[in-house]
Amino acid sequence: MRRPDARAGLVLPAALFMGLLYLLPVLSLLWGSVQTDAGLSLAGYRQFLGEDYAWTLLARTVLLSLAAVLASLALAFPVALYLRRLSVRWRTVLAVLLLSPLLTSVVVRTLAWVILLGQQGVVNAGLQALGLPALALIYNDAGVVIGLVHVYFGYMLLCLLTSVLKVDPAQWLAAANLGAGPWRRWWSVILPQCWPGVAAGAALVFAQCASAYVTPVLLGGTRTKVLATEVYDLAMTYLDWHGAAVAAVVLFGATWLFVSLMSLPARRRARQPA
Amino acid sequence: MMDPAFLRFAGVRHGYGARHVLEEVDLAVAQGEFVALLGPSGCGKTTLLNLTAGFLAPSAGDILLDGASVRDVPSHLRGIAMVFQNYALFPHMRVADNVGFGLRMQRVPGAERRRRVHEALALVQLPDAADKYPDALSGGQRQRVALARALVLRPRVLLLDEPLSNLDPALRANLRAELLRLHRLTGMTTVMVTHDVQEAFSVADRVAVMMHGRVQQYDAPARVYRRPANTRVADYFGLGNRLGGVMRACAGGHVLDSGGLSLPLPPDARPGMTVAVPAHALRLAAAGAPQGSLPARLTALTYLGDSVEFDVEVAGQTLRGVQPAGAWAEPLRPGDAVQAGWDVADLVVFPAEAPDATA
Repeated sequence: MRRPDARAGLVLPAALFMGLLYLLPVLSLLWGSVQTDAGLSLAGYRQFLGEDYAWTLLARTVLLSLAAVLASLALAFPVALYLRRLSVRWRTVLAVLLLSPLLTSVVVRTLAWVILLGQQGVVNAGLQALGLPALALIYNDAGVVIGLVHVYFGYMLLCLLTSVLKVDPAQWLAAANLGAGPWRRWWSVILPQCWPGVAAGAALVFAQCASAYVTPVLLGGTRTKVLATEVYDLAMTYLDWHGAAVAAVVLFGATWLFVSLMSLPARRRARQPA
Repeated sequence: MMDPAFLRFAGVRHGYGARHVLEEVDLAVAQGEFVALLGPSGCGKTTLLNLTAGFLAPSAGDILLDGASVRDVPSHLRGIAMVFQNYALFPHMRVADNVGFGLRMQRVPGAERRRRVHEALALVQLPDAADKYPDALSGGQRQRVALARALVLRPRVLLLDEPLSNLDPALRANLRAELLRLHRLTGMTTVMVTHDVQEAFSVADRVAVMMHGRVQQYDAPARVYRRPANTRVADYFGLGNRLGGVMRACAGGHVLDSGGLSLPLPPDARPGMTVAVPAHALRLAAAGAPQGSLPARLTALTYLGDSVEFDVEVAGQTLRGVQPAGAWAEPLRPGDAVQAGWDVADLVVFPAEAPDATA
């Protein structure tokens, strides 16, 4: 006999931990965003979203995150397809190497990019040595995307690799035997089966990028503001806790919306008649 | 006009350095013929199939289809369609899209595509499965869809990789009959890989027994079983009941002096050959019964329901037999004195050593 109530006890420590240290703060954040001197009110949202600046920040946050999602998808898919064909041993070695940015401190990593991408950095020195014009790779959106992709590429790769490895290798051969070229095999046979991985990777990368703070600050400079940096400024510089709570909830909502969109295909697939 | 060498393997080798999966394969498959590549895992039979499909390239030799080399022809342009062991159906496509995939790749227009998909599904007796997803089908149905997906392209050769191994025994007989029906209906030249002796014998016109990267024997099933090319082939068919003794010429052929008895041999027995008693040919009767020819002692008896498996000591050696269970087996106990015998015509004789035996 299985006693579900006894098993439920197993999740109790984690539930307490998450409840006290995650759920409560989120609820208090939501509460703080609607609580004003005149009682409960959405005035904070009206005020925040009434400004073009907020929409600029929101748009930039979403676009930078989307760019990072697409770039990491474009980079990680070929790598996942390559790793698929390796022995388990080599696959593990390479995957760990590719995930190593995740193991490095965000500050160290980001400062390394400053050295590489700066006006006098390694990349531009190389370009100039080749007689090519220097590129503005830092203190702008490009710098932020490069920095974000560098780290969160790993999440995308892990998600894609899991999906790609689930596809039966015979499917590639079957598709080839039926006349599908390499691109067609990928597009018609492999990609549709990897949707869960693509969606999970996109959701993870988007959530991480949308809430990234250090990377936009160090690589984006003062011009590239995003919602996360705005939350920090409101709370720490202007001591406007109410405004910070509102901005944080907007950021939270945008992220939640994207993650929900990404889980749609998976749900539709699950509902398919068996 | 049937071309006796419609599909021909000429000195095909595959492997790297000193280790070859395929040593040197020469085979000819006639047009419309059903050939089984039979052998244990690692014998190279699947490699040969993958070479034929174009998933691998031979390291030496050539594969000819209708007289033309397909060595440098990509898989889908060879006119050779493969049905995979696990079917490799695309799980995200409906049955109709799976079957129509190859036609779509060939840019066959929609209306004709639908018609041919419909025909192919009717051919495999699954006319109502078009809108289902592979997940919703049974193993046998998936197998039929995989067959339809290959046959819809009207290939010149159909390749089947262990087509029945993923099915439970009841379905297996069912699909075996289905394979035969389709083969009769389409007249498709078919090459099937299998490790199952019965499966190979039951469907194939000819069986190529493969071991250690070589074709050991290539002949009709009855001939392969009755006259194995060598000891390895005989062992693979379960012909383990060897009669030891000294072969001696006598009037009208040879006899085997064994355990103090002179046992008659079939006319094609030659000195140096090995003699085996197929398990099903070994008969047993209570001592004194008229049928038995040799005095024997029963050492083990296993009742299997519809049959009885037994060990007997006869002519100084232990032989294992299988007989349909009947009332005769009831009173017998291990240790009993019995009579054992066989028809001389049922004895199997073969060269003792494989000609290409490698140490």
